[in-house]
Amino acid sequence: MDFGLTETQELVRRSAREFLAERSKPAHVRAMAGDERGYGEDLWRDVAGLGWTGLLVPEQYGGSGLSFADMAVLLEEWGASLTPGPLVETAVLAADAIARFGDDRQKREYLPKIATGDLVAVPAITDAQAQAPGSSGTGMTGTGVTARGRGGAWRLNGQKMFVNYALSAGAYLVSARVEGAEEPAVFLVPSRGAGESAISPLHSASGRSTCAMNLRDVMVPAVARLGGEEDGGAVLARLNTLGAVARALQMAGAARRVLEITVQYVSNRRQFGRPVGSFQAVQHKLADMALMLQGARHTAYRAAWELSEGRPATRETAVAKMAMNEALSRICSMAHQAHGAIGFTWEYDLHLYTRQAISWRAEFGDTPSHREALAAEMGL
Amino acid sequence: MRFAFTPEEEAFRAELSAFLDDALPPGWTGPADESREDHWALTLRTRKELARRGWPTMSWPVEYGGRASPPMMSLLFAEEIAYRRAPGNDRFGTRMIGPILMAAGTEEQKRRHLPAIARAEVQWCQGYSEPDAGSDLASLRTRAVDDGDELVVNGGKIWTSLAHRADWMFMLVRTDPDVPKHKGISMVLVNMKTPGITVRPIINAAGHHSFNQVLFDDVRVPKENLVGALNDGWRVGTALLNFERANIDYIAWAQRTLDELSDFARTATARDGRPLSKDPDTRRRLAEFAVEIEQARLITYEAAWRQGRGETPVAEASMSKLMGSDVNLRVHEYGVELLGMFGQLEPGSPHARLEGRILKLRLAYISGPILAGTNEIQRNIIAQRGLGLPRE
Repeated sequence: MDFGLTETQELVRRSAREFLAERSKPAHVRAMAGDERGYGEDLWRDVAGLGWTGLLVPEQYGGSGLSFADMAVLLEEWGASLTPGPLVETAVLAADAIARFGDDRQKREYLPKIATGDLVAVPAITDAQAQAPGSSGTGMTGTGVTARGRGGAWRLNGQKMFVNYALSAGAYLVSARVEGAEEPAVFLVPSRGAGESAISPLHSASGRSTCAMNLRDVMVPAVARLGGEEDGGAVLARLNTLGAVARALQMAGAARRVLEITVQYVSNRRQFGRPVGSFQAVQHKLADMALMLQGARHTAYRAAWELSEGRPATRETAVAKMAMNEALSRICSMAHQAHGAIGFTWEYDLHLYTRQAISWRAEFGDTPSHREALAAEMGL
Repeated sequence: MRFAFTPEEEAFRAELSAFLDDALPPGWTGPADESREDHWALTLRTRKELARRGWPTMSWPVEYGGRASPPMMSLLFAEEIAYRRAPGNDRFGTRMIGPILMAAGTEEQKRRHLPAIARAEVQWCQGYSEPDAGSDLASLRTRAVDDGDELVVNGGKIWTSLAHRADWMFMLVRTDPDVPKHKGISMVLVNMKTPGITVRPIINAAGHHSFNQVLFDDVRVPKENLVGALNDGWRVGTALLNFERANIDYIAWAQRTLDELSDFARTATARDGRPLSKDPDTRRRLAEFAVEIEQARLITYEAAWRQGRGETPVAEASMSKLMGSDVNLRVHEYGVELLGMFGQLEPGSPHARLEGRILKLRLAYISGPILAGTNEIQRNIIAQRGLGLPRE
């Protein structure tokens, strides 16, 4: 067991903290929450300049070819500052899926532009059926969009929901049910080729950059399919696995920041002639928050490490998302309680975390869906 | 970053597991009941066999017969033994008084006691808590009065595990009642055969005799049995206790029972004739416990890793104890529920499922959040030492 970081990871962590503390302050987060594109171009350009968009992209395609464990450290900081921007969607999910399942042409076409930050590519893998618990994440097989094959092309029709940064994206990874086949498929759909697809922002508690996307007779060539005829399920599973672990890492960062904010608050706020943080009830609440963070954070890094070792990490992913879903939600709730009324204002930054926790909790597998995956892994 | 054991660590665990396969009676589910003579004989035998292999003291310095193994190896030792519910892990000797003597004992004390501990020839008990000194241990009142070459001890200790089997006790006594409470305490070693010592069993809520009250009536303790300087006992006697809080036992016990409950669920049927393991609520509860246990385990592994680097992970050790003892009790509470009406049946009862041991353990593990520093105290430590919050 080694709970330490490599030099590269220490460097990534330090530079991420410094950069994001300066460039992704709460005021920026608030401003982007009301923006339908959802992130700042300047920030994204500088993020690319730091090599973060290409961190996972293989070197031969212009990236750094680092591991998911290295990316994990960055993701924690990205989450701690609630930084708006398609880092996970593009630099993790799209980059990994294309590198893993793409053919040479697809890799050459997409990966270098992802590495330079010139292309934002986002998954479109959630459907209207995600309205019930247990249905987001691995359980979804893209039934909201149907792909009909004709000649050397596919015609896509249907609706995807919760497509992050849809209005900024240059390409989408669209999951679809394939007419006449059992196995789903994931298609690389350029935004310019998205035909008459209407994109409408969904007004989430965490911002306006997640969208519904209606696809009407969107034509894509046969070569737009990612992976072979039997690979669709695996592509989706991979997107959901990496998405879940990426969110878990962001959530670990956010939870850490919420705890820090709360410790600072209760240390300074005085009532009855002493800091409220000197009362045992408050101390015990914060101790429980620290405990939850400690355990859950370890499970997120464990899953990241397993993935970086090239293993499927099915069990570890389920454990991490379950642990972090619970930890971040409860840490935010307990933080509100420890803050009293001031923490309940729009002006105070705490609700930014609470709001983000709501969407992250459900994304890439809510607790019921990961719990069921874990139960299956346990042989129950 | 690495979340796996080394080949050496895995090899050690396999070797220990094979040893336990041989050493434990066939079909052993444990734990040992130390008031049963056959179980106590098994305990002594197992400890001697483990001692022959040098495992219980492997973290000891080489000069005292150990291997200077990193804390992670000791943790693996403890984890496997606890998972198997095997007897033989003698914490009082190998993990408490042994290290205390190495740090603060005289050469004579080390010479006299350490080899015997390493060879599993002696049983120790810990005389700390008193009826009026639990969480507020420093308020202890058992008095030791200077009488020339000896201290004369009067008072009483309570919740003293294994005092009824012990050869020696390491205890904290009040040697100066006129100074602030932490400054008037000494640590002494007491031979349990010394005249004036009375051990009274206390039966616990699980119906077992594992701890005791120990009364001292003019018990004469040679001054050479003082550990560390007079009135320095608080420091000597408590500094090392924090490390022991990073205790993998609770987690291993919880995992063992979770595994047994999962096995049970796969075969036992519910009302609809399907296995319990297909019931959504059962799947939910078992999966949730698996996640909690995993978290407690990683917290504990990290504490051991830090200790191995020479750090003093105070907050992490408290987190380990808090979470481990808590989830262990709740797994067993759930286990009793999972057995439905049959959860209440005692060991030996006709038709008891899993031989009634889930109930027995569920009652015994009530003590986890209380002993070794209550979980409330652990939260204080996490808040004050970990988060830097001010003391009241």
